[in-house]
Amino acid sequence: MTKQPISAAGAKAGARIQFERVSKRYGQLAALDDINLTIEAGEFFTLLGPSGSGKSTLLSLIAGFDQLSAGAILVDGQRADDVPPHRRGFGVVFQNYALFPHLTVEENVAYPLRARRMSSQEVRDRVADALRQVRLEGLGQRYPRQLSGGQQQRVAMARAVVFRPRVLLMDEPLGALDRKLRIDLQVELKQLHRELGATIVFVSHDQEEALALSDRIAVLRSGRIEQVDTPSGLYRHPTTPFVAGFIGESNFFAGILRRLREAAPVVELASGIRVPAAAGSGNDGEAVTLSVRPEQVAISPVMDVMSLAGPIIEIIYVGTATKLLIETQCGRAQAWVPAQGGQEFQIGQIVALRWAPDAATLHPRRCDER
Amino acid sequence: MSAIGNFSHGAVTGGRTNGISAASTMWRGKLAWPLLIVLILFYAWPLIQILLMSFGAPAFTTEAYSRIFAVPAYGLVMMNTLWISAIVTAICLVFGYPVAFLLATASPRLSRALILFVVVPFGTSLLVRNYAWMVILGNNGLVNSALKSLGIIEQPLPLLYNTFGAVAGMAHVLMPYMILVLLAAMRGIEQSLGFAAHSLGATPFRAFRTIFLPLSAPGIVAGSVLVFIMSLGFFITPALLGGRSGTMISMVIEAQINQLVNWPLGAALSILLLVVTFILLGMGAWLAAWRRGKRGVL
Repeated sequence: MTKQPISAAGAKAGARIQFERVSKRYGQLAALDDINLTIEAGEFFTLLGPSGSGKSTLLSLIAGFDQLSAGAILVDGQRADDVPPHRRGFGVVFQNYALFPHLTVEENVAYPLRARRMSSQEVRDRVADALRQVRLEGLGQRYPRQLSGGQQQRVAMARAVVFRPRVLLMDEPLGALDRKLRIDLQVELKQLHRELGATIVFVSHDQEEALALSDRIAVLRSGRIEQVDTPSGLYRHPTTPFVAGFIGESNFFAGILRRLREAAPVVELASGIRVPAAAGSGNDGEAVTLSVRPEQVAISPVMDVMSLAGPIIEIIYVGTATKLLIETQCGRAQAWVPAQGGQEFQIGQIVALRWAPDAATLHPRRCDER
Repeated sequence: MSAIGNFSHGAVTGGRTNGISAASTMWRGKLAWPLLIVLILFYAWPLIQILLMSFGAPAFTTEAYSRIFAVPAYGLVMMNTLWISAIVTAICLVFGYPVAFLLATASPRLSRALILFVVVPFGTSLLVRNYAWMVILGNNGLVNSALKSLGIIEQPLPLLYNTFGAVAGMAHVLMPYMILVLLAAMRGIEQSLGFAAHSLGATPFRAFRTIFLPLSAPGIVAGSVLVFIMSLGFFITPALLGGRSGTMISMVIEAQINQLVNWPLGAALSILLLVVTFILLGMGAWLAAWRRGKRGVL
């Protein structure tokens, strides 16, 4: 399968987008609260969060569909928030695709070119190129409703990139598709990003999708940014319990940080159990929440009364691993044991949980956190 | 009206009817019987009587029809009726479209408040509204006395008891029909389409012209057909406000039956009006079908 890059001629690199103290209020409700964020040129950047976290609001502020209440948005250093949307020149792919139902596929893709008053020859060439790139040749005369969901998605993509925008905004573009198709399109999306060189701002509530696609991810929660990092950075070093729980799965334990002499710090959980913690985080006596990934938890026979342990209450085999649910002294915990490990488990068996000190992440405990 | 139904709810109803079993369709069919019987007794049967009457029942003669086509006055009144209806439809469309657009695009709260202004006159008595126009347009009415006191005119303008008066009154009465039909069509247009057009580089005007206007076209057709057909048979308003130059076919029918007691001629004119109405309805349906055929599944 050979592909002609759309941006072959007259290619423009992606634009850099900066948010400076951006807020958006609807009446009393703050949809976005003091957002400071820089999206680098050419980056595949994902805004990730649960519904109501403000990720779509942020996207519509970049697109210009909504006005900010405070702050500024800069594109390549230039103020952009007072530019009307039709002069921003950003491609947008909508969740429901927003294809024009009364226009054919070709007319839909030609729309941004006609709005730019290109010659009909150039419009024809570019539309044909774009349709070839998304593998929809021969369907140009169809109407959107005569296409499948995946095909509609491709038309929306072609329409958003045919005018070679420097910024491509995507609002959960794969959300309405089934799983298999979604994974195919993820691969195509990554290729498209490499060919275009455009900055892509992608909105998603699906952490797996975000990890698979993005260069960097901003995790949003109730209108604030919780953490911005690369996918592996977010997964390995979540800075808040929310991120630890939202990206992948985590076990949480509440406790008190203890620094004893020059030894490695430990966290004292309820009932006096001590577990290892990473060095250099927090002060002695501080209340902390400890998070540890289920695949980092090792299972062993119980050695002494002071180990974190309990009976296995559920065993779930998922092919690559066996997931164990264990009722410990400090609440339920998950441990994912690799399938090749050769260990055998039974419900009711008492096991101890261990992990390497650097596998645990400490978060200062606030009253509103678990 | 079918154009609207297809436009805004096409996908939904299409899916639902497929899922309904034959038995429940039959059951729902029975629910329509009471109204169907009423319609047959009080509408279809009298209509047949009128048809027979127009042919001089119990005898059979086409005398009434010959007279209609022989006497130019009837043709003129028919043309006048079509002309007034066309003007009324045009006025309702030109003034109603922006109002419907505002209602469709305003915030839900504002839209609910504004829609009251459309619906309240709808619920006001036709007579009250017609007499209000007399107060406004009369020789000593609001408009003429205002213009006189401003020194713009010396003699009152003839605003009442002519075509102008009839058109003003009819447009007022029929405006809500146009607005509500347009609104139904516009509400079916997804807001994201406008956003998409803007993001693709279309100015607000271009987005309106290339996206919103064509997508609201089924509403334009349906609203215009509805208002035009209602205008054709309008009686009270042109009778009160129209006078001689605003004579419409319904007034001639009333005169034939009530004043001249010429039932066959009145019946023949009624049938003529009915035929014209059916032709127009057929044209409206054809136009909608043609659009659907041309524009894919829409």
